[in-house]
Amino acid sequence: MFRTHFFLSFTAHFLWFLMFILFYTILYKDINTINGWSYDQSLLLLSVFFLIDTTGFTVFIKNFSTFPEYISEGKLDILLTKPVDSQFMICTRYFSLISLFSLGPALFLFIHQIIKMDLALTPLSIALFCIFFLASLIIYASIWFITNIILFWVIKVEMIHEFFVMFFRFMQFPPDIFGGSLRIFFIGIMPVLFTISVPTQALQGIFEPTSIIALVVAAVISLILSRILWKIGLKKYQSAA
Amino acid sequence: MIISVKNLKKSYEYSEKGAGVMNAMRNLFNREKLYVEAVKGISFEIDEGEFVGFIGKNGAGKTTTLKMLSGILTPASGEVRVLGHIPFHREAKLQKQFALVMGQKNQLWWDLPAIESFILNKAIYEIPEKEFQENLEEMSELLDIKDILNIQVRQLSLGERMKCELVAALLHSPKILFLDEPTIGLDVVSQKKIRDFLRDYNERKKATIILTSHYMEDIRRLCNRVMIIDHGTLIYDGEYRKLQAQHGGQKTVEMTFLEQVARQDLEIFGDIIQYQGSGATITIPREKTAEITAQLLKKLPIDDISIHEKDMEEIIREIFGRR
Repeated sequence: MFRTHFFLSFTAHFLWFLMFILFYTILYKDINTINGWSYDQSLLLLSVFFLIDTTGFTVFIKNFSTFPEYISEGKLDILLTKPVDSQFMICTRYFSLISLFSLGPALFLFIHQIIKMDLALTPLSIALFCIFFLASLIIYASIWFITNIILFWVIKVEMIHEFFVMFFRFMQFPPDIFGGSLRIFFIGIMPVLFTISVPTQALQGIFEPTSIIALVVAAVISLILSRILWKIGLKKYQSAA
Repeated sequence: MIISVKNLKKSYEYSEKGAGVMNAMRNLFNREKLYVEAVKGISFEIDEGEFVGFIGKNGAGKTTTLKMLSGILTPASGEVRVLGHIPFHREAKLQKQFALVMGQKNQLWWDLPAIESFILNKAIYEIPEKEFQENLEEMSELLDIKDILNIQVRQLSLGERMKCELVAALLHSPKILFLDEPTIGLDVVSQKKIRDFLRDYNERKKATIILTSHYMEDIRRLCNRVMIIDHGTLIYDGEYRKLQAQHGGQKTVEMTFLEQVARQDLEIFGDIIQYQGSGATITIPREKTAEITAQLLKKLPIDDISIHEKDMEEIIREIFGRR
């Protein structure tokens, strides 16, 4: 049963991945760039998106998808009595092996694009990519976590993590295609717009100070906010009879 | 004093919803917030080494009190100190000195053997290897679980699982143990095994144990002090024996006779509960037990006689019935 589950899940992940490559291939069939982003740059962006997404899913999906049970069924009780940081414990308790295997195709596309685009990687660009990648992952995890914290007040909303995933899907597109109120929303309220583009551009030697500052500030603020809201949420926690 | 509670209060928020789809829709947009006071300003102190039983009906506030003592819930008001710490601050220094076992919630990892959860707790509580091995060996022996340590928790029986839960909770030798219905649903053999183990742990380690249970046998055999909570209020706090003496003012005498005895011959000794001619059950004042028993043996053709204390469950029922 576990083996079947493993193969079906991996196949679904892989088809999802192929579908997006196909989407970009069709989109760029008759045009060279979209708001300054070429086909290859968009695929590199997509590969970085999948790297962050699958890393995030590997570490957090099992933990955050069971968050409603922790709150509504009182499963948080025992965790709160342990001499270990409860936020850390609830975020990292489980690990999704299936998602880890999905890193393979993303990593393949990532390396393929670097070679194809003949990117001149330097120790500085690699180091900055790693730092920005980590910052993006912090934003990804913090916003996902904050979305779940709402449960302390509303107690039961199943699949609340889908709400976050829906917004996060916007990260896979070049940020320059968004304008007007959507752009304001994805920078100010749900700061996901620069999370993928900044590390991707670092690999290409493109550094936009405003975007980099926005990414780092968003990472710090979202992490601190997740901590504060977790503490407030715990005071509200009612457990279950 | 190891635990101090002053005027502790806790309320829960809830809402009501009528039956049917229409009410569900109405509830979606117009929900009235209601509050229930689960704990209404209770105060008590507990000393080191005490074995205290919390008694009360469902929803009386026992578990809520335990959850506030262990830092799971934040009190609405009042003061609570455990080993000098405020529990809901959740300091690791305090958390390493107590353990909580809930009969209806498990801390063991469902899909893994119990030994894996023990090893995880060893890391979480930073238990030295030698102490971990000694404690595990000793408790596995006492609870007779050596053969099941490597079996997936999901495959264990309820009794085996609860024994493993106790081991997981006690590996770090806590000074305080909170037990919320640890014997619920267990067969009598497992219940006794766990009771014996808890009594032994309390005596050897001088640990303070607070137990909630609906099984009066647990309370009777383990607790020297009981607290009765009703509707969030502490209505009795004292020795178990005193509670029995205060409320169990009568003893029950069961007799079988060598020949038929008339009802009126029995009425002079006490209140008749059951009468069959060849046997009867009467209640007599507790303080006159020796005197009346002697007279019964002297005046009636008694074949067999037994004297019982008033059952604690009956006493508790009477206390709650009067309120």
